[in-house]
Amino acid sequence: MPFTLTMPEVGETVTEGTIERWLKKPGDEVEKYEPIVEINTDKVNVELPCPVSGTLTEILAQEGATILVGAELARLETAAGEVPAAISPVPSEEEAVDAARSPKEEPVAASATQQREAPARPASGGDGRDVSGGGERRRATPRVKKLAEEFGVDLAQLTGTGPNGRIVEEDVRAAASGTPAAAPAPAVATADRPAPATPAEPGADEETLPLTGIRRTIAQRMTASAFSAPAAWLVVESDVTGLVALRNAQKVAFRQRHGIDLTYLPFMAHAVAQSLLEHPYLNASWAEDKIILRKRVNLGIAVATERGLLVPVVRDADRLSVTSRAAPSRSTTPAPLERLFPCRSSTRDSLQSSRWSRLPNGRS
Amino acid sequence: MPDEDYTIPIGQAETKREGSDITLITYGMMTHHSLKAADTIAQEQGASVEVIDLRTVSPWDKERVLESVKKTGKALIVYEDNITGGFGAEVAATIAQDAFDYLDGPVTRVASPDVPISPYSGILEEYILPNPEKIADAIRKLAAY
Repeated sequence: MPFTLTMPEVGETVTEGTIERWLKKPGDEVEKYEPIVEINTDKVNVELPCPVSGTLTEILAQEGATILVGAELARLETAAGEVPAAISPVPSEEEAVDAARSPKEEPVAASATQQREAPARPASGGDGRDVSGGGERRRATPRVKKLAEEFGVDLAQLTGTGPNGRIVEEDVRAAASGTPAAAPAPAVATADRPAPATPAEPGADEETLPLTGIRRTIAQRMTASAFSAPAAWLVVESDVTGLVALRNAQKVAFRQRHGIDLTYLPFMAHAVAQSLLEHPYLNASWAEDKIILRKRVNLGIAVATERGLLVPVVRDADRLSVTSRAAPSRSTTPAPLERLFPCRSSTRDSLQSSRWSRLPNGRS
Repeated sequence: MPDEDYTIPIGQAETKREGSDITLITYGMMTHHSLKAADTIAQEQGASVEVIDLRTVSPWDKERVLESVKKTGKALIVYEDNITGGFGAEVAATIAQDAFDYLDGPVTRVASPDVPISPYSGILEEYILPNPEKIADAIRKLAAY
């Protein structure tokens, strides 16, 4: 008896998930309740327990694919008369009190929802129970909603960090105090706009773009950096008349000598590198239980490329001259990157270990 | 119970224990169990539980209860009666109606199941009636919500 496994609702506001890893391959026997696939959503990584016993015949969603809730994941062949398990009761308020549940329990409840909804979807019939996830309601207690109203915080913009992805008081307070725990770093917004950080309702006036690996990485790194390197803004006006004069006087000769244009960027990089030496606390990173002061200045410079935002790193930027910072190793630089910013090639190595990033347009 | 004559003000609850995370509303024998449970949780470095002894149930001290729930956002009602139709259900309904905007978790009750209460058997009594362990469990769950 064929059975089609579909993408369950993993959380109330989760509309899609990425197949992280199949734990079974076609031909494998699967026991009921046995984890069959790892699914990665923006909230949690979960193992989906199989609702039936049988043999996995075909994988429909490959690893790495992003799958909408309700879409088909795999086909299984089960013994005749096998009834898909209503694995656990639909999560009720009372169950939700059992907040200490481990993430692993979530897909159990989720697949129960799937059991109920999967047959109902094409016929749009169903028994009408458990529509809690259908309306994209932002889950928050009355207290949190009231607080959000007082602070003027839009709950739809928040990602809940509470049990079951619920928005809790701390989320609202964090958003109100301007140190968003879950909101994307401002740099993301200015650099470019990847798919929304919070899963938005698909609507007529919105468009959902598939995530490429680099977009996903940009989003992850930017969000992570907002935590590990708390962002700070300081605006100081400087008179750079001398710099402009220097550049104008040198740019033709520089072009002839080095074959590239002399821009202001290496000067900025130089200034940043020297400042970081003077102010080591700015060249530091947060490591949960300690602050790590870096003795070397590895300067990350954000570059907009056709593929997206890349942050090549100029290693030991403080020990380089302006010239070498302008082109530390041009020979290895790929053509498109060199056009935008002559610098090291964007090999994996040069894209790592930057403590300090700046955007060339000076916005961050 | 004091040895000498004493009176209890009607409709005036007593806050037996101050706390900031959960309001526990109770009366009678359950007050003692609840205080023990609150102490247990405190020893675990768990939630800070405010224990309110209603002392009289008609009239009962709505103001004090609502004020406390507005502060903590979570209400746990402990009573010895059958859970259905017991007095704690009235307290729960009042909190849900008058402090709704302040709630940060489900109004929760610990009470006896819906069977004839207090069979004259120590084992059965222990099974039926709320005790400090059951109350502490409920506190942990509500605190984690």
